[in-house]
Amino acid sequence: MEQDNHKSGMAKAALEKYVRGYKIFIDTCSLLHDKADRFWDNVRPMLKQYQGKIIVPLRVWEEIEKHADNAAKPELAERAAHCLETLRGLREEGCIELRGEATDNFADNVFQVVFTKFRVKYNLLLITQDKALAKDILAINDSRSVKTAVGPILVKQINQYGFLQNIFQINKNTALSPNEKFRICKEVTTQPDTLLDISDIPTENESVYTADQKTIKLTQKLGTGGEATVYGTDTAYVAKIYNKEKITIRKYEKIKLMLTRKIECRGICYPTDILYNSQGQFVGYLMPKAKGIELQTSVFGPKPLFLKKFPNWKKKDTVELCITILEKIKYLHDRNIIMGDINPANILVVSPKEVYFVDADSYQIEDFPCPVGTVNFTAPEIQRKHFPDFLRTMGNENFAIATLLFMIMLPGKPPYSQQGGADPVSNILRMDFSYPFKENTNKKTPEGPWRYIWSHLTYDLKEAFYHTFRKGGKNSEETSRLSVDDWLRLFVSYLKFLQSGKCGAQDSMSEELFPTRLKKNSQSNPIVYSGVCKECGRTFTMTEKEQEYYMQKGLMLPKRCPECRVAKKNTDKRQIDNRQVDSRKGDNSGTSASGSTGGCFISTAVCEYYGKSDDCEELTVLRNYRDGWLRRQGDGEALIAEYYRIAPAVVDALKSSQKFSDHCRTLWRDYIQPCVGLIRSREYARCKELYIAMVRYAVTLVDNREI
Amino acid sequence: MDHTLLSREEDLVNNPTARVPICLCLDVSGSMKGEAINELNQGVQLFYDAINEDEVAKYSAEICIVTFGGSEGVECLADFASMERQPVPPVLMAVGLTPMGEAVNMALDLLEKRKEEYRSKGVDYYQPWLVLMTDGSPNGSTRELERAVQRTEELVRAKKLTVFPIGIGAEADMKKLEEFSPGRTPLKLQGLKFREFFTWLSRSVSKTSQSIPGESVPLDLDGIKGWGEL
Repeated sequence: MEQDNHKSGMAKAALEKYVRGYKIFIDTCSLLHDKADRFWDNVRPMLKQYQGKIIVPLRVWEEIEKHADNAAKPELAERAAHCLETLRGLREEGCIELRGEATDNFADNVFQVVFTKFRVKYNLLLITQDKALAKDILAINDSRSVKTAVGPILVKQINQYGFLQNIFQINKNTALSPNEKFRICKEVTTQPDTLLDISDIPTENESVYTADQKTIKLTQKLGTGGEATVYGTDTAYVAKIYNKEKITIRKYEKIKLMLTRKIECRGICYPTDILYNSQGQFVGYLMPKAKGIELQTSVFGPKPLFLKKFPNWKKKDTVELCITILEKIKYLHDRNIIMGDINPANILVVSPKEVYFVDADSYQIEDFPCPVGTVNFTAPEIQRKHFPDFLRTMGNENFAIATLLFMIMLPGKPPYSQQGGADPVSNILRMDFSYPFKENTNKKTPEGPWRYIWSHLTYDLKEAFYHTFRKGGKNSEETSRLSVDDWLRLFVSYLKFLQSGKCGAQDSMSEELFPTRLKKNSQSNPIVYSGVCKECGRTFTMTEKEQEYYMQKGLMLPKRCPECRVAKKNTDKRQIDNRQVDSRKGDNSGTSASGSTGGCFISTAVCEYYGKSDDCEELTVLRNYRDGWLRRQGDGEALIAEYYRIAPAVVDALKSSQKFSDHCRTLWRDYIQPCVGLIRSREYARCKELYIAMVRYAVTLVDNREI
Repeated sequence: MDHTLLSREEDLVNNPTARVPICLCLDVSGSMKGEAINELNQGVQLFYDAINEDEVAKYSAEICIVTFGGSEGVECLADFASMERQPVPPVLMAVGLTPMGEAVNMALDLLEKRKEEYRSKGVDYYQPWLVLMTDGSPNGSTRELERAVQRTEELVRAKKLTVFPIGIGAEADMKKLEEFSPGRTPLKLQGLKFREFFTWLSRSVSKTSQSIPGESVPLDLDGIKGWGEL
């Protein structure tokens, strides 16, 4: 309670500071935010006290008016109407100010233009809930090295208490405060590995004590390893009691450090209390009890063993298992804990949804390294290094994660096992990954079911594994490997694909754990689809492979026969060319949305720069997305029309720019490639946002004469 | 053999576990007759049982048995395969001479062949083990014996083979066994404690199969004290 008061006091002081020293702008989504009223309650007295005004652009006002008239969305309309009423009142009280000009572009663009123009003169603050807009506005801060007398532009969002907070948290995925995380260290601790002098190691039916003098009785022995014995206790927890010769200063200090943060995640058997013997000497720790069967002797075993342990599992179960495991790793990574020794003996499985991580005391915490590891899960850059002597990086860890996922999907098979292979260390160092992707293969894929299982994985997953494990792949280096979040996205979309039945519709064997043949494909090329061409009325057919192409990319199946598709593409291309000629003449009248089956101006220009043809994969994906998904959205037609209005002039300006190649590189890297990626992972709405951001970015370039 | 070629092939490629190929090269000459051969049979049986009980070792160990002596001279009684394909050991009979050189050469040939199979199919494996047991002196071809010693020595020095030479009883030619074991003194079995030895061996297999191929596993030589004398 006291803390809450303290927090709200700080939030109030911050808001007051902004009112006194900043020109504050607010956008549509903030005005329509459900805590907007609370915000006005908080800010109104301050505005009055300091004669401040919050600026509402005219275009924003108009957008809200439009929402208020939107009969299709009564809830939104009601909120918008309420908002207008509030704004009218605030305007009368002199708390807000409407600003704008007839020539203003759409609202977000207004912020761009105005903020760019005035940033050298005033302290500016934008209130928005829209991360894309926030990113663009914040980007103005680094766009030029202008010496200003004022501070950087701030962007804030309204929080649940009606105060302002940063729109981007320091950790973008979780709202963890810094004191919930461990530090990231570069140097190994100087705490020595010297043995502590322990007089007596407690055993069955003896007592151990926690730091706060609670007595805990050790009951039956649950397991013994080279390092320690685990006992049941008279509590819900179990006790890990180290062997005498394993108790060192370093271990004690590490466990103490581990306990400084609250790590509570179901399934992670993380220490909860240090345990002492009757002399008060450190002997072990208390932790939640694990259940289940080691991955090693279930999923990673040969098929009979796997099916003996989990008789009813299908592919969707292993995919879900990956998600469950990834979520736990994410919990740890978000707190800067590196597992280090990821291996199939310390992950226990009850079901695809219930998994336990054991041996948490080996995790890398701050400057305490994870002193163990196994070859298969060790990244090439740290092979043959001595584990206790260095700190692993997140990049090293991401290799282990990729290996674990691969070995769950191809049950038990390490990624670099291959025909003619050498020992595992050399295989990993060579990174001669042997599973085929697209046309690429070294023809060394192991014999047996592995190539079948591989062929049934989704395109996205194969791409991810291939680029991670293959030398030169785009995710093959320490800093470029996929993160736990990247993998989660891939596996969540894989699970949806399986659960929706679409995967089984392509080939029901893809739903099985152990397919007995390759995925149905071009070799046999059976015809699986026939349609009537909407141009010429002839019946046309599609092969399995063609259909798979469309389905994997999440595209609608074509409505025209191949001949008409080609003919149409050529006409479309001519139309674009004409349009571009038109725009050069300064005549945009012919470029309405009606001819919108044509190009994606900006993307086309960039692809051209990269020497890609008009029917290259990226442009095809983008066009299909536009016509297959975007157009069907509520604002889709309007966006496309607006795009066709703006884009030709933008392209012209870009092309005549001296920095054309710089712009192409940025557009390609930051926008077009990610957009294509999003479409492939079927994240259409995010693609829309990003594409809009790209257009906005291009417009800003032109508007600011940055070209 | 009642197994088809296909099932042998499937056995090889369907299992993702890295293999530990172990060749038992055993003396079944006439001098082993009686209690010795009985104890040996029981020891081998125990070895099979222990491995079958360990879920990791069961799918990792591949046992091959070559005997010398017997009615055929040198014989492969069980070729490499998983415990699933051959869960029960063959019964050993004691008769005949002691052509040890020929037997070791056959064992090494079989190990090479198996390694080649692993490589060509893309199966991970640990470096093989050769257990050589005798109660006497080799009396086969001298040339074969010399060749066997030389091959074994080269493989051990290149870290491509681990050899466990075991002498049984007072008549065992420990000098000859020593030639097969550069760097490690051959072990002399106390009395007929085959069971203790095979229990230790199965534990070592379990330990190795849970490590990762290519990593050196410190063999638990302490365990040897119970059954051997140096």
